[in-house]
Amino acid sequence: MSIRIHFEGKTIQVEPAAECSVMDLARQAGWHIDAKCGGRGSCASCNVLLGQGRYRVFDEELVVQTEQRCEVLSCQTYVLSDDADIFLPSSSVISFDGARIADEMDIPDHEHNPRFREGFGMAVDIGTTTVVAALIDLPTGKILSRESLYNQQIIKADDVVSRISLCNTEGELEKLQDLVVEHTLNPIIHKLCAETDTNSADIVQLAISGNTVMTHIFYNTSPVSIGTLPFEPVSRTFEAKAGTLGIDVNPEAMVVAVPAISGYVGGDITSDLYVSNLWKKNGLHVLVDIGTNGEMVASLDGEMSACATAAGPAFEGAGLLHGARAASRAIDTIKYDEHLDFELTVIGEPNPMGLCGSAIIDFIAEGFRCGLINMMGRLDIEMLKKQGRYEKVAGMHACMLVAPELSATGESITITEGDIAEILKAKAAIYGGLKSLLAELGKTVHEIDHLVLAGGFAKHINLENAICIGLLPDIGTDKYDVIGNGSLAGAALALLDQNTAAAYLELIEKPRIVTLNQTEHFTNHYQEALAIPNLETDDFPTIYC
Amino acid sequence: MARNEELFEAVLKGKRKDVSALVQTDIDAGTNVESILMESMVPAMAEIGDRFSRNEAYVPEMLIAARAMQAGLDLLDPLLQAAGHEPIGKVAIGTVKGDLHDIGKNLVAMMLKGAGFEVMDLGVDCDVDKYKEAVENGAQIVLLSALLTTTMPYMKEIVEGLNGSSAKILIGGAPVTQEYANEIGADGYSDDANTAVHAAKAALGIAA
Repeated sequence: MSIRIHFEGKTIQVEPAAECSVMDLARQAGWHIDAKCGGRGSCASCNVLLGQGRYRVFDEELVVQTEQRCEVLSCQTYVLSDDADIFLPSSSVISFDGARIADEMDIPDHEHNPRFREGFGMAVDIGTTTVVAALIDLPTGKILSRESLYNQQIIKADDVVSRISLCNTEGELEKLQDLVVEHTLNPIIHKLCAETDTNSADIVQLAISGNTVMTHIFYNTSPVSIGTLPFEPVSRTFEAKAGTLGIDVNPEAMVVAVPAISGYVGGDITSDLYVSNLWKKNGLHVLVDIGTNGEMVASLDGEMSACATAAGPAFEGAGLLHGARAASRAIDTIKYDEHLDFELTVIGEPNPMGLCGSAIIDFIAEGFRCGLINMMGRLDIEMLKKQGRYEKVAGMHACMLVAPELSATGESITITEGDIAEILKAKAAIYGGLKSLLAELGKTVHEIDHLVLAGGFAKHINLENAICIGLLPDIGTDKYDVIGNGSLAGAALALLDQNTAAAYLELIEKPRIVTLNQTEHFTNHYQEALAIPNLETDDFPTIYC
Repeated sequence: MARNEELFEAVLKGKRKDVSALVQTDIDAGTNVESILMESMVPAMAEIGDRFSRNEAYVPEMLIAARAMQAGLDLLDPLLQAAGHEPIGKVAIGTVKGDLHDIGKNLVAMMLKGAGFEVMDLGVDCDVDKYKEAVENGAQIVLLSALLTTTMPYMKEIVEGLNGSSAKILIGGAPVTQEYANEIGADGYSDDANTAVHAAKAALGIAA
């Protein structure tokens, strides 16, 4: 009996087991299938092609003949026959090659006042997608090296809410904790120690910073309560010894988390706020972290309000026909005019397999400027046909960006009107959320004095294009600051200056949490923001000049 | 009265201010309020729904059209009630307990109103009792919405809680699937706001 898994020219045989889904079998072969929905069968990120064999897909039996190929969800498919061939498309396999990681950090001026005057400390940013760590020489405060890896929890589920759901099942919390510590952080530690010739037992203190759910799981605490109203965390502060968490450093090392503001505004935002120092300034200062769960904080002369907005994963390429994570073979920038001669840049390898969030923002902005895309996000079919760029894909009008012979997949890379609609919904959640948060303070976007963009995504977007599509307010790019990985910097500060801990505890009490859906104007602001750039044209004076 | 083409177009294109002005003009001119709704506005929402199902319109356009439709309904609703207008059916819709996401739910509500249903909007964070009360108040269909995988499981409790009542139960929302509907014994599922209208009509045996 033999099951063969095929991927990129390689074949691996795996032992069949009745209880293993095709997704599990692929993992046994060493390939991590993307399971955005957590393997519940409600998305299509884990699609594979079945070759000859007999299978059970959902509750139905499926027989695939020789030479036939059948596309199915790998999480819902089990092998019934003794012999089977399964082909993994590159779009379903998670690759860390060339992943674009935000590991640059700007640590603000501070007093060098570490709690430990000897040994090493480690600052860790625990992102839903990526974990980044920096090894710090405590006596000097010098950053010795940085390393990162995808948070291995992504093989279980892509987003925060799916991971919360998993924790409703007995044993899953422990598995997720093991994935982030044993399979993500420990390999990073081994690498850092090898690079710097450091003995891991000399690492005597750790500071971690992450969203509230990631922090709960890291400390083996169930995040289930954050999944439903009123979205309360078990705790906003966490501390434990490294040995009890399974971290490969000195087992007595204290591991302290940057405290969270609320269930959906976590320690990573506390770090961003502290590092950007905007809460100490006069005027209207805003912090925005563009992500699946867009967090925003507005500070009016130090009075703060915070909210989170459900933007969804479109900016990370999820849910787009040819969307990709910002890693090797993803198109990351696009420039063009009405001739539709697309100037593309690709991360790593020359031939692309898809496009990441920053590229689709460029595509929509440039298309809006040259008339390819109208304010409702619809394509000019005549223009596409005239330039030989028209395709109909999955019943939708689409623009061919890369011809089949130039792509890594052998198929053309396209952007459909459905993809544009996904981005419009995501950007409406961010812009509509920001506008509603400000309205709660009696302010408008044009009264913003300073806007800080945090998070990895912001680092890579073209700001003018993000403003053009109406994702961010049209207030002049000089009012924007893009900070590096503030979450990592916040964790590092906790190690470098022991007084920071008290400042964090003071800071998390300040913001008032605003629940957007319960504000008077959110629905209206969201709907206005669905157009490019906005139905409220006065909000975008430079776009409508 | 025939269709007011200008009003039809204004709803279709989501021009909210135009819709309000045109509806007000018609009202002032003494046009039958029921015909304003049924001959111009309902067909416009049906048209955007059809375009959506043909991939010729997407959720952002539907939401913007729904917003314009609402502006017209705000003017018409009191007059329709006074005129004793009979809806094609009475339904209740809400986001389930633990969840407060309502953009998708509001769109479904608008599409149903746009199709001529009377819609009781129960809001967000609705427990079993809220749905029961709606059924007691005459809802022929209850529609349950959830955006989060963490809140979806509550749908099962609602289905069980409404066991024995005459109302049909339709479910929807990002994580919801047909399989899940079958599993918990809901009467129907729909993937988007337009098919929700078809599902509601089918549940009451109304011709599409």
